[in-house]
Amino acid sequence: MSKTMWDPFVGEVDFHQQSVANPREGIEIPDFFRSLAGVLVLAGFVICFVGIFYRDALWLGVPSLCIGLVGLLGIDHLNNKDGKIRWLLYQLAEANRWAFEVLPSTNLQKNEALKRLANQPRENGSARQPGEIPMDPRVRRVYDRVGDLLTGKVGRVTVLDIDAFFWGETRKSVPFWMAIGVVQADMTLAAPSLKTDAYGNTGNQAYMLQMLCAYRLDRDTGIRARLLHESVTGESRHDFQTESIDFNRKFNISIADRKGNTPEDADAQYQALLQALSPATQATLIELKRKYDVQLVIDGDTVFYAGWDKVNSSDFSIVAEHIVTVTEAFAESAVSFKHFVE
Amino acid sequence: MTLLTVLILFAAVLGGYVYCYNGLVNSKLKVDEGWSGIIVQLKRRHELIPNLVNAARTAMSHESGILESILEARSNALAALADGNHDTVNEAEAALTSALNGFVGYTEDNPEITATDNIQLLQRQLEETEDQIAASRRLFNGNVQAFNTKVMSIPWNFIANMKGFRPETMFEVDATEMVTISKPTDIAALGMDGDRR
Repeated sequence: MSKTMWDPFVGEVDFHQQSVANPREGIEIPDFFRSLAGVLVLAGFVICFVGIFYRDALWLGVPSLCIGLVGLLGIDHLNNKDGKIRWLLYQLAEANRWAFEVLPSTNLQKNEALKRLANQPRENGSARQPGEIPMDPRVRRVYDRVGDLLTGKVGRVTVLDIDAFFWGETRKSVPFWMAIGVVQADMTLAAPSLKTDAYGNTGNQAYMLQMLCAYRLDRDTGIRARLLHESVTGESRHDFQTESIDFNRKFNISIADRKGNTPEDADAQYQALLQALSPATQATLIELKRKYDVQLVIDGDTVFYAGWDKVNSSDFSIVAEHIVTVTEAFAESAVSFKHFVE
Repeated sequence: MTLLTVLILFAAVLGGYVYCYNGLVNSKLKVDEGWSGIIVQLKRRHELIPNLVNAARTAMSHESGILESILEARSNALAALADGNHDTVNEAEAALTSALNGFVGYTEDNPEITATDNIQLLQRQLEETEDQIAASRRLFNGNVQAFNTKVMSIPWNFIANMKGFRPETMFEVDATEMVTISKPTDIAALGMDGDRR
């Protein structure tokens, strides 16, 4: 009998590890050129903005932007970055003995399934725009359920562009599902604190791991609560407030899809939320917000927990060395407040 | 023109006063709310203790001194809660924690005492309550810190002096309780120490 893994969307999936071929080595380009291309893109944007008022500036802005973008894409292509990231994620699944599924390329020429989907109307029946790349159905259902945790928002560093799905168990045998997206970021102009990671690596190039983890609670909370980033302008006065100033400053708390409209319904849901957000839950989440910049959705008996971490190095061997610890620690942190919510 | 300037200045001062005063009142309310959170958890601990003592009494008949010291510390803690003084509560709860630690230490040396499911369950509930107390204390101290920062910084300190707001005292912990407080940071074991952002 094959082993099954818990999944927040379909209940259970059979254990499977999609194999990924060893990628070609690619051509190593010095980090300096990537930083230069990144700065050109940034400068190009600024100069193009100035071009709104002084049209001549566009002669400088547009070429800077184009050269920078082509440079970034070209360096990634020559280095075979996508292939190496897939390989890295596959190695991660192997090391942790997690079930694994990598998302295929969004290039329609390389992805037959997506190409077929592109010729069909959208889910709501409307026709697709020419050149529109459809979303993978597996990613679509994640967006449909917890889109708040994936999309861009003020206060969020990057969006979560999913590269692979994982199914595993924590050290205390809590089954979880995880989606991971890896992006390379140029930290040349970033704050000094972003140039060093938690593992002692320092550098202007970093691999950022965007992670979304889900697991099931032992009870149904009866609510769908969202704990998202608080607005950069300060603490919102319109969300739910707990007893902690620090927690309220860090999280914008709301109940989505409210059941019933009477004051009694609202009170019951508020009580259910407070029960889930016990003092120990809040204290743990304050700590995790500092570590992983977390956001979460408590959807009935399922917790969706999103955050990010980084490894400051452009060397794949160093990233590969840390990625197992990073993801395992993230999964452990996701369930660290489980019994407090229960 | 002069009148308009005076009116604008007056409105600005009045607006600033209202903003600062409301900010101080909100922060003070959060400090009180945080204290109530601690009280709820402490009361829960007090309610668990008689059941634990009764369950352990038969097995520890020859060591009744430990149980009596727990009950005495509990009754002092209850009296301190009724009194409401933060320092008194702090001292009485530290004494209760110390008495409970004595019990835990004894059961570790004599595991047959905790062989019954009932005592194991009560001990687990007590540990969970200790976690919640430690967390409540951290949240309360965070609120006190935010309030005290306001009371001592410009321009809030002008209003604080006028309206009689005074810095609050944090709920301190002794060395033995620090062990309980540092419990939830399991992820530190994976080399994730320190803030990274």
